[in-house]
Amino acid sequence: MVFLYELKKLAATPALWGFIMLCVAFNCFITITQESGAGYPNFVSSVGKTAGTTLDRSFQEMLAAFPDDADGFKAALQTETADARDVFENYDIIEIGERYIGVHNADGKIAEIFRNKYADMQTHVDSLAAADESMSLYFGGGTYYLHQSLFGDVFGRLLMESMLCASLLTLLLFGYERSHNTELTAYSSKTGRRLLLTKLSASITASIIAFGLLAIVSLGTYFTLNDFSGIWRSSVSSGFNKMHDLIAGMRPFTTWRSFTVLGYFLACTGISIGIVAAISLFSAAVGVFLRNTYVGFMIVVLFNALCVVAPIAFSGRTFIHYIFTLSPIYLWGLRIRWFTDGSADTLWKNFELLGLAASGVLFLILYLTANKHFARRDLS
Amino acid sequence: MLALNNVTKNYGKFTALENINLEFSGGVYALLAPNGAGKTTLIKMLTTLIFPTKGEILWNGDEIVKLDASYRDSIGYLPQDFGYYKNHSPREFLLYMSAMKCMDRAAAKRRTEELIEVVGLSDVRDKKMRKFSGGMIQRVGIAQAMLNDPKILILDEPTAGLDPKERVRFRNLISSLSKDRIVILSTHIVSDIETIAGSVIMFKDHKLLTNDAPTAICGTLAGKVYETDDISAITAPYLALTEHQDGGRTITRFASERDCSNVAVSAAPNLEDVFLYVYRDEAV
Repeated sequence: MVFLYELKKLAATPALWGFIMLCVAFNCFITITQESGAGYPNFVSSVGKTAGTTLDRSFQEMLAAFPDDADGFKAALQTETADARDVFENYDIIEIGERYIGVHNADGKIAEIFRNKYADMQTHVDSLAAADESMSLYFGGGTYYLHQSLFGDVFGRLLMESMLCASLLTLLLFGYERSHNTELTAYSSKTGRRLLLTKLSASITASIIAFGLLAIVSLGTYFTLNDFSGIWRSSVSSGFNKMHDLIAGMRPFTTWRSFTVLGYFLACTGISIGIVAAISLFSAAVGVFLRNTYVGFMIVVLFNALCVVAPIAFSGRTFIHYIFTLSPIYLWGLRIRWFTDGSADTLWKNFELLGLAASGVLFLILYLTANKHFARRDLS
Repeated sequence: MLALNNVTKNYGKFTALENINLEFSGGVYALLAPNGAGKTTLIKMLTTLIFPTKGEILWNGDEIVKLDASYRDSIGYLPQDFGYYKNHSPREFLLYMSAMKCMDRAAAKRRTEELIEVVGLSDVRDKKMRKFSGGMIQRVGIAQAMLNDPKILILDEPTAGLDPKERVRFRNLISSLSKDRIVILSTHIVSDIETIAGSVIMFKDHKLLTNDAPTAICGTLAGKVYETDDISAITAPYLALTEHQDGGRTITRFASERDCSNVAVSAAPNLEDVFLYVYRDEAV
């Protein structure tokens, strides 16, 4: 019951709704105004529905049966897919790994972990080549733009807004009794200081609900304008999909396991929810210590700023550099590389899962420590 | 029974309360002392909001900190500066506090309606508390403290900021709620407790000064309180207590250790006299 009352406190906070509405309006505005050239991806999607997403002879035949269009979309897609080749054939990702080791001037254990990671990835690349994984449609020539647009831009905005929202609403809830001068009655009641545990579960729940609301509207708008329905079953490691960095340039989009576009989308959504929950957990720990929403929010922002700056401050020859890249804010920055090798920025395999688990454990310890301290703290 | 054994509370180097021994077994106990004497500190320890630096507080023989929720289930508390949610009605707020007190939903609804009647807020039960007067808010405060039918009712300065009519009403309410429970009432307003307190507890220099019935405490000044309309005629050392007008004359009430019956009229001491006498060196 107290859990529902805690959620009700948030639901009755106009500022929170105002923030969510602003985010929704902003996302919709950006999506609508940036929508350009969607005709071609929508055409590819319609082809995918009919011809499937595997680039084989059958696909070419079915594509050929499509009526010609004034925009030349069919001809463009025929050209792109006819030239398609298996990008994983003879793809030497170990050599890419060596370039990353070189740029960091890494040696010893760090170089060893890098090498092991890329050796493992090479094995997976070889299996992708054997399975002709890259011979998949995705959005043809529009793939890079649309992949970046969805998993980089839309997810980036959505996740950043959700993290801000999670932090704000968590700190709001943990500072609620102090700001309403109800601490003394609340903490002297039978529930007492166990209220903080209820506040934590309510905060995380509300954070995920807020993410859900933002996601439904923002992604709903995006998918209304960009039809993905025909390509969900396409492989995300399609030969048309690329990842880019300054050291290796453009290279195939290679994930640790085979993902369809839908599977990758769901996995990214799962990681996003995990990051939102982690931020809420961290904010809760700060909130227990400070019990002041606005000062707490500043601390959360400063901590995240530190996590962004720290990898720059520490050399890539040190573990501390890579430890900071596991922080939630850094994971946000690397969102376009989730489930890939992560390029030169990350040391370990599955950095997004590792980062999420490490952040979760660290923030949980921090929260439990704060809670333990609060249990014996004088309230005045 | 609620007992404090050698309880001391320090804030850094400052000692708020020192070596307090008290027992509460039933009836109304008034904590009477000037502001800053440690009344609120004691009350916050009794409500587990702060913890003793030394000593222990026992409820029926068990330490209250260890009893945790089961002890807090026995108390009702109205803080000095009672906070509430302005956008809640009394009914909503009381239902919320019932949940905080882990009460069954049906019992909470029934008790909320009962208490709204008892504290005289029936007409405004569904009105937002935003525009309530101080007295109305205090009545909501006492209602939330009574929700769980507490065995220990703790009220910290419950009449502060109330007008005289509200104070009388509040005193009567507390008196009616004091049956079969311990009521601990903190105040520095003597008239609040003169008629309703069974015991008065006073602190001085952060230590327990006295814990006795009002008549016994007043008895400590027996034969030392006088009234005169010519205070200049008093040559013995005295402490001026109060003044009042009587038929155009200013009557001064004073206390003296020496017999002044030849120049002044002896008066029966009251709690206010004791309060002013005991705390004569302190800002009240």
